[in-house]
Amino acid sequence: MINYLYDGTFSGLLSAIFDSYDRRDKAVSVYPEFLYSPDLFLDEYTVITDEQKALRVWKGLQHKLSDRWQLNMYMASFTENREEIQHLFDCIHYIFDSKQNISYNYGNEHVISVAQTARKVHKERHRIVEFLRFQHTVDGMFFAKIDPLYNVLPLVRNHFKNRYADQQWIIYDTKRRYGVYYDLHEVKEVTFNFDESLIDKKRNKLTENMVSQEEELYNNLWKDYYKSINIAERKNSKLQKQFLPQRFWKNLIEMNA
Amino acid sequence: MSSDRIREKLQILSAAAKYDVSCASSGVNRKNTSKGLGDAHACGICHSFTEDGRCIALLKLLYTNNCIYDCAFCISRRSNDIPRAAFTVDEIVDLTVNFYRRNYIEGLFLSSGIFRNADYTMERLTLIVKKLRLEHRFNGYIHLKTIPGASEDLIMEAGLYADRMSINLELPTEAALKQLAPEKSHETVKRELGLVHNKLVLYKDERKIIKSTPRFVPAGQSTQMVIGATKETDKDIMYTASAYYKGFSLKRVYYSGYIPVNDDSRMPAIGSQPPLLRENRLYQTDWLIRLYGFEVQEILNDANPHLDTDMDPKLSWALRNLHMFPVDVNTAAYEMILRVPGIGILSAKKIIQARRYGRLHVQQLQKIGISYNRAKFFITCADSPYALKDPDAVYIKKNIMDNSKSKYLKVPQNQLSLF
Ligand code: SF4
Repeated sequence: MINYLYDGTFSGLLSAIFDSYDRRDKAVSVYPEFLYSPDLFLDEYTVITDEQKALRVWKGLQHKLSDRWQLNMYMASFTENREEIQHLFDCIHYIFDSKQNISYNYGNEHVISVAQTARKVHKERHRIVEFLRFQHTVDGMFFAKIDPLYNVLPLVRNHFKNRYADQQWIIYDTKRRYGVYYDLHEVKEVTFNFDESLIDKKRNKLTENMVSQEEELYNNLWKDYYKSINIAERKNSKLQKQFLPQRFWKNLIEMNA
Repeated sequence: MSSDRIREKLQILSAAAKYDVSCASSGVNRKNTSKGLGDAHACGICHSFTEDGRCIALLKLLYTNNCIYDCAFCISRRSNDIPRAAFTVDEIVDLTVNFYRRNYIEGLFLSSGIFRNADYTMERLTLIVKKLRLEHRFNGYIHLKTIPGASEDLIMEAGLYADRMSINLELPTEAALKQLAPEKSHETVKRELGLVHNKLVLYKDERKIIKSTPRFVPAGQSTQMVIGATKETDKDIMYTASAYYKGFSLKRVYYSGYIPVNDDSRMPAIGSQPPLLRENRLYQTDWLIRLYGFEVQEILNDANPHLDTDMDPKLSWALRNLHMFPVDVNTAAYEMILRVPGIGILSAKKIIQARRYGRLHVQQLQKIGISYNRAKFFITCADSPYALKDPDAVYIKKNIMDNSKSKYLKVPQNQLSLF
């Protein structure tokens, strides 16, 4: 038994796979740094993320996996749950150790776990695509803040780039304290500490002097719209919450009367 | 524009549009070319959900609620004394673009009462979508209603800019429509669905040869029927739906439980609950026909003109056809696995893939995500404890019902919980 410690990135995890074969370690438990508390009774090995090694492992996987499953692997690597990371690690070993292509063997616990984790990450990504809201600022920029369960910014930036090609926008992850910025040409990662005083705490929006003149009108029009298309006779709040989890409500003006 | 007036218009003309239930924004991949605004995704995206759990993807508006017709089931009919309003072309364009830029919506669903005449109205609608596409380079989703009786030229022009077009059957049978909306007819609906359908097929074929052939209604057509306003059986409703699916390759038929808006002794009184459970059962049947390979006659026929209320149509069908079970999931064809209550499309596909690596056991089936408590009466697998030698429909039904009380005894979920 040995604990592997890696930096939490996909390349880091692939490097860990490389090292585990190299060192012939069996029964490896993998931990991303942000989930690790040292265990005095177990051996510990710190993986150095090495893009070369990672690439070799990835090439090997590509050889054995369909496009769909390559995407599954990548998506699943965004999980921040220890057991799911372990399943991913074990699944990759399982794939390398088998002669046949076993990625569709849903009867195997690692394979099914990776498929499910990938789905969860995909769902979170989709929810950000759905429930992210831009506010139009005084300087003509569109600003949105998010706090997703997983670090999905790398997974959504292209969607927004394709869609909002003719407006400048920033999406900021308040949990992970970084954002992406589109300047009409390309999307760049930006790290800054968001100035909390720019947020009107009560309404969870940018303060009035930060937003453009017509922002208030379109906010009101959207709230009006939300109210008037409701069909009271069909009320079903449970269903609403299932599709629109309450943790997103704070960012949606229509949910805050 | 004054902000109070535009707010008032929006309230009137969105409230009147809400009875059109389609909110689908799916079925087309429209790319954002030349750095314009927006794109459309085949999978569809919802941006909010109403209190009744319905997806909000589109800005659903009437251009005007002025109407020369007098359909008995409609809030906007000419004999109603209600506030009337009409947008200008620019107002709708503005709202759409500004909502879209804030990620509130996927696009526009535009409909209208018939103002002056069909062509005048259709012309306005076409102007709006044209302006969005050409002047604002808007590539978001556009669903446009075809106005009954509009000229062929106008409909054809609109089809070059819309992603989806629809025209509503309104009621499931021509007889009912004659009674409640004498100015309308299924014949008109057929004419217009047919026009668009023919052109659509033609353009699709041409595109295969000439790449530059413009796209024409790329997300296809849909229609809607109000159910529970008049006395049709479920069989009447689904046979009509199935005929239109086949005749015009419709993408969707929508079933909208009638919500009484007018006092009319021929229909349910104001305040009666909309038939939500029935609506749900019809949608389930619709899915079985479109995606699960069932023929409508297998589910509804003279012996069974109504869908069961206490169980879904897939389970009813299985209980009536126990001679076809149990299905061995380790050997049966995909089509048959799909017919097992408790197994959906995703799980059926996974089963087919997974069984190549060895015979599947109960625990693996559960992990794959089938609803085992339901399916167990209808399947065998490697370590199946159930050998249904003498299957008994009453016993199975009771057993399934007892084990899923919470789901089936409660008042209708206004939802499409599918199998
Ligand atoms: S034509 Fe349409 S808007 Fe006019 S009364 Fe009939 S259903 Fe209502």
